[in-house]
Amino acid sequence: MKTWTIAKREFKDRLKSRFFISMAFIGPAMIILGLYTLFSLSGSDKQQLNILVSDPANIMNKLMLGKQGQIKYTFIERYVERDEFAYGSDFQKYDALLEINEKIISNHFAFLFQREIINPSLVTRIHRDTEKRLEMLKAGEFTQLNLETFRRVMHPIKLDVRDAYRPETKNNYYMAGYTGFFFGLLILLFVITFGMSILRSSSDEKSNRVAEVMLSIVQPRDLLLGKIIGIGLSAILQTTLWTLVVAFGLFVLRSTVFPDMFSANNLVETDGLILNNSWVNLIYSQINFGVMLPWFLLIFVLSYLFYGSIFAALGAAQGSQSDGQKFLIPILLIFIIALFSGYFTIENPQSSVVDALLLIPFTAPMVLMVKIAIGIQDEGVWTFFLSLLIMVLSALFFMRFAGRVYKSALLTNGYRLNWRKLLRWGMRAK
Amino acid sequence: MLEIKDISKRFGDHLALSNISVVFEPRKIHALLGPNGAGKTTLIRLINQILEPDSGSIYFNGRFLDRKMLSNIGYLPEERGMYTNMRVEDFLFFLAELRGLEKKTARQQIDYWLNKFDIQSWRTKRIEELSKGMAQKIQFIATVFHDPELLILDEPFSGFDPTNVQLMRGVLRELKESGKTIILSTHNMNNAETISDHITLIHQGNIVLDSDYASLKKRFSQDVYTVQFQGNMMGFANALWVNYDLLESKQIGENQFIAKVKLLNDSSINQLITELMEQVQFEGVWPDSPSMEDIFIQLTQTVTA
Repeated sequence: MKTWTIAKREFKDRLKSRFFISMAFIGPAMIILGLYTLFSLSGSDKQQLNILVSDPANIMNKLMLGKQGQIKYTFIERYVERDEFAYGSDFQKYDALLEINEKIISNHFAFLFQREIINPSLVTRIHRDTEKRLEMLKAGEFTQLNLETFRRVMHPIKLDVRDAYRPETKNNYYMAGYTGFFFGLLILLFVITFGMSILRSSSDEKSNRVAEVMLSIVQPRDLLLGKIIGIGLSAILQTTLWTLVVAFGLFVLRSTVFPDMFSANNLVETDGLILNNSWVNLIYSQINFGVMLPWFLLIFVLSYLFYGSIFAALGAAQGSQSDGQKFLIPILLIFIIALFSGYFTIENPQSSVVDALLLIPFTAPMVLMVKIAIGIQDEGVWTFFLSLLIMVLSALFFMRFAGRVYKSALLTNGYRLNWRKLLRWGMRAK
Repeated sequence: MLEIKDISKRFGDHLALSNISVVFEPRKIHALLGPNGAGKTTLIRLINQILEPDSGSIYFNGRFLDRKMLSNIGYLPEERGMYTNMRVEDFLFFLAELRGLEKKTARQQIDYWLNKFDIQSWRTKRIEELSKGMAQKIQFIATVFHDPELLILDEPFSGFDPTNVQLMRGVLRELKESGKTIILSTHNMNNAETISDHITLIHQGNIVLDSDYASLKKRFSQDVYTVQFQGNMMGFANALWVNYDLLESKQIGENQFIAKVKLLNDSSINQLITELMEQVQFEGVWPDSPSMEDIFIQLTQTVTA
């Protein structure tokens, strides 16, 4: 009952803060803006390139198409010097000069002079276009195949990667992994933001001496639990607001800004790869929000209780503001390690290191979210549930630890905090 | 009412309270005195169950004190903190809810006390807007609004101007009259002297004095009287030849003096007046009792020595 009263106060206090209100809108707005940028870059607003092909031997003309997606080739049957291209007024409309020398079939060498840095994927495309046309030229010269037949023969193989156990799912592994990473990142972001609120609230109560009034009415663990629950509820509300605002934003994007993205015309397949709107496809079709959101909520709550207790203990234990800063550095380091562990999991999902990271409560939230997103193999199920169990036990342990620190440290002043003192307060029974 | 029995409390190497026992009787104002670091706050925190004793026990109304009984205790700590971003009314309702008061009772009590201090208009003020004295009154209300039997007030007069000190003294007397027991921890001897019925002095973790005020005054009285008179100082001094000791004298006007005289050999004030009556013209005679401050200094110095 008293815990709930304290939780209500903390909850209302957060709700009234400008930071909470601005976070509720700025955060999701930034996500929507990021998605809009991703959609735009992978959609219709791609960079258009004008390439001048200097081809004095007339090797490439007629064999290279004038327009290849974003690239427009213009042929000129003479040498164009680099300086002439760079400074000549006639050539300023071209973004790059592709120089095809007369002996290209034998020396396999060409120059591409760019005015500004060209996107590496487009350079690859120019390279491939040139190479392809040269192959056709060689085919005409050295084989009996006509152009049509040659094109059919040279059509690339489409390599479709599927799960051996669930071949019906057409999931892009890396995108799924990074989706899990994004959810893990959100968990860490919320946990550090609201964990800091717990730390500040605890140290404020200590420094402005309201702790003594509170401890004469409630037990330290009620005060701690009330604080964690109240701030936690505000974190859950913030998360829900983010989810709703982002969902609404995605709906608006789909129906107004990018209505044509979902037409069949836009899902262009070139050389066996979906090049356009893969992010749209991921967000709207491939993420199973029904699975991801409940797990996100559960892991978020466990991470929050675990990290929140540590922040509460630090807030109550600090003898001065500098104490808090001193202890924040190792915690931030742990967050960075947690982020890296997510990346490592995407790259090495079956590694035994990942299994170990799953069992460490500091890194488990991130690794769990990535694992859930890419799919858990049957043999990894027990590790998954063991990881959850360890998180529950760690959260309980640190809540108890923080309760003891509250009892010992909240009314103690005039000292410099060190790890020994913190551990002594947290571990002693009385 | 409240019995402290063989309580000890140690913080690391420092012994804050050493096997102390004291009884706080009901319907009295008890002054808990002691120099800084004497152990007063530790004792108060033990009573409020904020700390646990290493040994000993505390009884409240004859029963072993537990947390449930804290609803019958109101505690005003010396370091008075509040949630500064809350409004006065919200803060009071929050503490009332924690104290288990029903909303209706809480509203009645808060209205009563805000009216009593004539501060109804502060209801909607943010606590950060309050002056120290104003905040003090709000804290006091939060200490008494659940109508506890025992009030423990740590430096309740600090931060108040003389008018408000007077007001608070009056309120404390009223509370005592209504049957409350009050423990008043203070450094201000004048306040302790003015309103206390009982004095407990802690020094270096020990109780060095535990007495009602009247007995204390008598115990420390040194049969010294101050005499103000018109006349001749020489004649005055000659009259005190035996049985009296002239401690000091000062001329305060033309043929007007003030002197301190100690009675010796079981002589009485009546005898002194009789012997001096022929020599001087009295303007006033009054006992020169030691102040609480004198007693405090005397006792703490003796114990320290």
